[in-house]
Amino acid sequence: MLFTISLLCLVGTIFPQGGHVHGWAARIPRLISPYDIFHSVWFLGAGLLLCVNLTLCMRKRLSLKRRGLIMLLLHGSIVLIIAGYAVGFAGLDGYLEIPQGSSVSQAVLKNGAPFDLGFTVRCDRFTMELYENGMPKEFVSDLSFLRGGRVDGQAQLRVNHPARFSGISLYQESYRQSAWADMTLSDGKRLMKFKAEQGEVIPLPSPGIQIRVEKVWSDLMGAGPAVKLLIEGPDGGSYLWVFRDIDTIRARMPDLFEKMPAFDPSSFRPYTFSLHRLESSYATGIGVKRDPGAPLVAVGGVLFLVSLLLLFLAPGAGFVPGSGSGTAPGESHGEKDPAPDAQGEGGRA
Amino acid sequence: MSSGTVIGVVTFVYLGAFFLSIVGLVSGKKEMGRLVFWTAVAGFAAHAAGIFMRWHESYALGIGHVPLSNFYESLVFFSWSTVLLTLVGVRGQVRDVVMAFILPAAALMLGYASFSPGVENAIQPLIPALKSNWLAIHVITCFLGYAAFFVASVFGIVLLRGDGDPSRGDPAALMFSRCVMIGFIFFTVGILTGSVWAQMAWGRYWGWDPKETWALITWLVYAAVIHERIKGGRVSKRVALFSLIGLLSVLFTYFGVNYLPGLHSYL
Repeated sequence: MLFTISLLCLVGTIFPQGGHVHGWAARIPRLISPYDIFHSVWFLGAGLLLCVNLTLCMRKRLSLKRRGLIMLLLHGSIVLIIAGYAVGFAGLDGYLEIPQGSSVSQAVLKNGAPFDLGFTVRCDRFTMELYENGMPKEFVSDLSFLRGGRVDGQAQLRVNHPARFSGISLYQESYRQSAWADMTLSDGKRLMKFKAEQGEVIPLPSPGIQIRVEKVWSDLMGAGPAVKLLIEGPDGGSYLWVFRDIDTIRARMPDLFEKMPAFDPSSFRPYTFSLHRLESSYATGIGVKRDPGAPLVAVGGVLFLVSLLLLFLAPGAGFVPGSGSGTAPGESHGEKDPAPDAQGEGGRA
Repeated sequence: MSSGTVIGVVTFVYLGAFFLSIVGLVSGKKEMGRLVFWTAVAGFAAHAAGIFMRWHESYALGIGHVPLSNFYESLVFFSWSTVLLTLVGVRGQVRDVVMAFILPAAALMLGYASFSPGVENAIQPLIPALKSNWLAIHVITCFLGYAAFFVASVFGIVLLRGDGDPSRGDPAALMFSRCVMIGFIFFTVGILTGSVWAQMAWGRYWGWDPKETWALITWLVYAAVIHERIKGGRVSKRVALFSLIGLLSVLFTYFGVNYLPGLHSYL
């Protein structure tokens, strides 16, 4: 039984789990798929069988002797953990993305369905602190919880420091930064204004030509705000990097445009691009969870550990010197079977 | 002197002790055993000093944290734990044989940590996910568990020659049983503290991340070892063989999983 579950776990680490599958794999029903092994009938069946097995073993050894009780507790706690895990399926597991200053009252569940929280969460502020070497130091979300338009509670969320409101736990999971730039385009006669946000496509006055905003940086390699554009025409595409502080950069490197023509904002004739202002904002990514089975699992874990320690220290189990097989080196006595009541214990597990 | 230099020197002290132990075993000179033991004790003390020095250095850099946060630091601690358990827990004649296995392994881990270009040994600040009081207790218990399983597997190799019966006072069989059980207790605490931490950080105590899944596989294999051991009342060849499968599982949980995508990429 233990090896069967081990093998199923092994399968679970070979096949990528829980993601989208393609080709022949997508035709396997989810309930028997190796790509979702931990929710498949194989795994759930093995878990159920283990519970039955443990329960039967416990019944067999239902005696009031001290070791019998420890064994009962030890194996019973595993059943409790599995039961708690199963209860957890009835819980909540969702995700919120809140742009700074905005509010959200619906979470997105793992299957993509919306879930009404019963209250509104507002992200008052999201801050990201960095170490000197650029590694992330802390992600902090200042949140307000609103009910009926009134603030009913506030919390500061950090990684490893969850918050709780109305029976739902909230976890700092991720963040997203979006940036956009105010740009102008001139063909010598007219001036055209546009807003450049990553992924946006803007048609140019010349027919068949459009620009695609590839990336927006608040600071590109210390040279200030910049935008990377892909100019697509009938003859293919070419890249153009537009810097806000291009005059300052050129003052330092007068031959910049000869070396890097793609940095010249007038290289795509007859147009000249300029970047005026850059704005960026954060959205915080928050996990929302409720697991009614977690307390059962916690109790099971503590009971298991306590009974494991008791078993280790119990005379007769063969681990500490004393009676039974736990003889200190050099000592000897006539007892042949070190633990008579251990026969068949979990034997077929 | 930096902690890195100390750890480098310790590598050679362990190698020297290993050389002495081989000489002792081949020549049959019993007194060599004492020399090996005390050389290993000296190396172990310097090893502990190296770990504390690195801890101190991290505070001097203004990013102080317990040195258990990346692959380099975990290798150094794993090696230290293995030597600790051997020095403290293994007594009698069998110690000379166990030393001959443990010392080169400890040196190899330190050598790999110090000299492999693939192992980053600079002190890095903690990313937000690792900034938790659970880090130290989770890593320490897991690695003490790994180390005890490792020492048990050395006894497993010794016991493959024939059945060991603890009730007849066979020290190898008794120490094997204790190592497996101590490893199982530490590893269980490691898994439990890890799940408490995961609940605090991500809101799920168990997420079938490859590291978690392989920890469960290792745990199940050692549960099987313990069941076989108690059922038969002695350390049969089968039990010894199971413990070697367990060691492979430990090694995969520690090293192999890094090649699978998951959340434990830093260790």
